[in-house]
Amino acid sequence: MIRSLTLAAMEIRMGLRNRWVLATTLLMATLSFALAALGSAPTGVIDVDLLLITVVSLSSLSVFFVPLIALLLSHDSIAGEVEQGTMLLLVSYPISRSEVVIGKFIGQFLIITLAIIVGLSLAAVVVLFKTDGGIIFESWLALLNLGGATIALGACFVALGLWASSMVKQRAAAAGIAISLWLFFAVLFDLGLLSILVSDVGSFISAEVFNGLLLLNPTDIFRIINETGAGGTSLVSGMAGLSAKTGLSHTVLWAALGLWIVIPLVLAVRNFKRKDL
Amino acid sequence: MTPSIKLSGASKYFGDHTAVDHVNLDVLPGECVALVGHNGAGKTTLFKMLLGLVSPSSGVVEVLGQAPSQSKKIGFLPESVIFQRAMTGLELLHFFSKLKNAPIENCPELLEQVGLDGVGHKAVGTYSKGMRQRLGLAQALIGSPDLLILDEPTSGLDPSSRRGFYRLLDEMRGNGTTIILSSHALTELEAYTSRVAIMKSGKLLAYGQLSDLAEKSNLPVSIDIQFSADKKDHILLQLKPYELVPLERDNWFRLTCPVQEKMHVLQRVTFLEGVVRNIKINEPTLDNVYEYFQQTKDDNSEVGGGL
Repeated sequence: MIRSLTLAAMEIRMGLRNRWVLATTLLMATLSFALAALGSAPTGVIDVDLLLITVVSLSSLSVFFVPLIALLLSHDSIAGEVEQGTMLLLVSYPISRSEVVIGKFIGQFLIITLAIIVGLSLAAVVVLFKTDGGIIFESWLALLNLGGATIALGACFVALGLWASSMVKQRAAAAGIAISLWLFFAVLFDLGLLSILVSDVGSFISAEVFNGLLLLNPTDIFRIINETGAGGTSLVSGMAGLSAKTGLSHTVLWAALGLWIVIPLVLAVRNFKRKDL
Repeated sequence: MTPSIKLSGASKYFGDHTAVDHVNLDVLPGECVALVGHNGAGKTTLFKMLLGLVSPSSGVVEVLGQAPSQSKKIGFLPESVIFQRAMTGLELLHFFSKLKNAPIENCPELLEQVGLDGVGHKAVGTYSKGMRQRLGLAQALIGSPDLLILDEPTSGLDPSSRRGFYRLLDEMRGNGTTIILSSHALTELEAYTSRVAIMKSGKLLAYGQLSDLAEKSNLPVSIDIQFSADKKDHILLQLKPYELVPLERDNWFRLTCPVQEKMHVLQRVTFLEGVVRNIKINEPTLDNVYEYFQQTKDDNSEVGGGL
């Protein structure tokens, strides 16, 4: 584990040196600042806390941006090093391949976590200034909920990126897989679900099956956690109905998100152990 | 004495391709063994087997008395070593030292040993190929390893750096470190290696001291002799049946004989007192021995192979 942390520290140092940390943090900060500054413009003037509106807006955009940033960070971390030739030297040291994968995961996870925390904190500061500190407690809870879910979503896609990276030897191939994963989870999966629902005239798909299908996509889990979550976000997001009927408790949702971190990581370790260098 | 490296019938297959084919090899502690062979001969795969990165398809591989595994007692320099360009030399050595649980305080000294003192704080991206190679050597020396595995260590080094590199290897051997290295620069290996292993298509064609391999290859020795100008005919007669071929220098002739007859010929030459002005003996070089085994040992006959 200590060696994993050593590698994680190196990943962060490299991230700082090649401006990845700066780029991801700036992107998240800009996004958060823009949405917080826009305030209630997207919803019109309604009697809802401004921070709550910002939380819902941020969650709607984070579901696209965070997976993309996470995949960009992680997709070439194994394949890239194998192709470049730096991996051979690394694994000749007394560090197991699982420690390598976990070390890289921790490093990249911390980079994206920093970006998310800075971004959300900036949003909170902007809203505080705009409202002269008049933010209700539930809104803070919603922001915390969003922060946790966004960090978990980032972790899912860092793990998925590492899995993609462990499958191939060329970084271009890893990039192709990463883009496909993003398209599938962020865009195509929901379109597919929608088309199934529309064509399911006889209501053959039960609520349980539909719930199960939602758990197959970490971005959907993220959406449900945020838009049916703390602080009355369901009302603002228009998901109050779903919130009552989804049948998926937040424990189940968080556990599913956890599995979306663990399973790709396990697969990445398995692939990497089998890889000839 | 337990060998630092022991391969018994070690083979590695990648699908239909045989990368290493029934190799038997023992390397004793403190020895420096050169592994030579064309590109694709199986040298790098053999190194990866020693590091535990590639498991043998058959046979037994032992490194430092146990099955190969990543160990802090082993230093490895890969062929054309590449580092993260954004990091500095010192940062990389700190990182690798931590992985080996070695004190990072020794890193400046390691840089000094390989002649990189003063550039440790510069990004590796600014280093020349030779400097990166020297940094690669420095990382291989972390933790004073018992075994050094060096794949093409002198590639990219200028002549002066090469000499420095071999001086460093001598120091390491003096401290008891076992060294196995591959190189295409055969001539320079002669003076620094105790034994030579010649590989081709995954097979170990020959293994032993250069002098033994030269004897086995039965390559001739040539002796260049300078005579007094007026004694030529007398000498030709005295050294029969050996032929003397005139060289393009004043009164120099070349006599070629089998290596087993070298001492006999020398005795006869030195007996010609007052006639011989100078002698130069040209033993078969590693280049000659290497070429001989590469050309003639196409079957699976293995020469040497033991201690």
